[in-house]
Amino acid sequence: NDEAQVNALTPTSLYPWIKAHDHSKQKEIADWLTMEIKDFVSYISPSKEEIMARNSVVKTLKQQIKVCWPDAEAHVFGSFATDLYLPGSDIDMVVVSKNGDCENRHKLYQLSSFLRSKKLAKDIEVIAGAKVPIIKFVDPKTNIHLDISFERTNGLDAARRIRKWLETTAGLRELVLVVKQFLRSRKLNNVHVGGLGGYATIILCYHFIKMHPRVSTENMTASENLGTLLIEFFELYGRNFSFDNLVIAFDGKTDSPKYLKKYKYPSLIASRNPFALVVQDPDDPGNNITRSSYNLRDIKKSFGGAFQLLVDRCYYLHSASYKKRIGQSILGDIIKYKGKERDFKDE
Amino acid sequence: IDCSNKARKKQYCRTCDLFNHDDDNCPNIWRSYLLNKQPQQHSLKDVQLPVIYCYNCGDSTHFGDECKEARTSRVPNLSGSAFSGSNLPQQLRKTYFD
Ligand SMILES: [Zn+2]
Ligand SMILES: [Zn+2]
Repeated sequence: NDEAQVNALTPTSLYPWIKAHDHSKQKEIADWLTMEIKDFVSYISPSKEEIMARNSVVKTLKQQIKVCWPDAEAHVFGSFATDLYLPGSDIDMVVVSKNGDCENRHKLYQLSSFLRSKKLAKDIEVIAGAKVPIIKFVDPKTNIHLDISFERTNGLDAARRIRKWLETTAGLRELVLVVKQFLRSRKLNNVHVGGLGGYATIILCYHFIKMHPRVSTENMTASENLGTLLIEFFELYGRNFSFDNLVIAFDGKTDSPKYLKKYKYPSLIASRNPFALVVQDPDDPGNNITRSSYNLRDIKKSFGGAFQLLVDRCYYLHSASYKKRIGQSILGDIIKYKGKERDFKDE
Repeated sequence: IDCSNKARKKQYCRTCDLFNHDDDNCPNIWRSYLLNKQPQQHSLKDVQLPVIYCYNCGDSTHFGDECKEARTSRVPNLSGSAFSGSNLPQQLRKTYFD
């Protein structure tokens, strides 16, 4: 029986999403990859218990911050607010007050000792001197990592925009989660060391889908073509896109994606190196979202490498015998999932 | 001469009529889309070009694969990409290439 063979033949510990989900009989390789992407997404999507645990952490913190500072309100933003988080992702919160004075050093320490005394936080770090002062800590019950920042609403604007994009763009969530996990497994997702942040990753994915000649003409639906689209995402940003000449942007009025020519927008360009990623902030045209992503060389190289690995895998499996195809993974060449085995959710 | 001729033959793809890859390494193996069923009545989308931008020079008159400016990416584009007029739906290709 096929399933037993699958389990015997493959190192499912590295790509556990293919366990009991064999697509080797698909005639079209692109469909096989599309199905594997959907399996991967359902594998890494949080279970009901995980969702409930996260929600309850957030709910308690919101209430208790209100107790500590009655005139302030705590909100979530980032991947938690957009439902684009991977297992083990941090939760980002921001505290906004009427007086707008929560960011000062004294207040930061006030909140951190309050959270400690209420046993709502362990391993607390107060980073008061940074450009964006934050409190980092770990929830004692769930071990989820949290970051609280203060008085900055741009993360909330971004989350609102992303939720709107997700509602209107089938396939965006799947593409984003695969690219995020890819970047994470290459350690290129950390903006503090020049990597690509979550918001930038989402913009790259959304911009690419919207500009695609088959999607923009409504000739096909992105969610049914995730396999080809993933390869073409890596093709665009790993091989063809002119990082030297162009800015990734959206029209202020219509929100439709466009490219700007860098030389016409010198104020957006901070780096003297022309080979730099510039993504105009849709909520603040003077701001480059990726000004910290200085490691473009490795990001582009990794995208180009992913393109090559995926197409080589497609060519190999296309001409391989049926027997050799059983239990194989296409995605496994670019994404490994390490860590605790998760339960499959086929809901 | 014989030798290079042989190599050239080996690299020929019958689907693309190109000499830079063979049948078993043809992008059409993975660049195959599941298309929507054609709408019954003609909509504007069937006759009007979508918003187009060039990934190389940024112009909105052509896709990157048809760019005449010098290519800035050092990775060569030998067999074409998704962002080409030939990747538009059939009924729009004539409008684009004219
Ligand atoms: Zn070919
Ligand atoms: Zn051009």
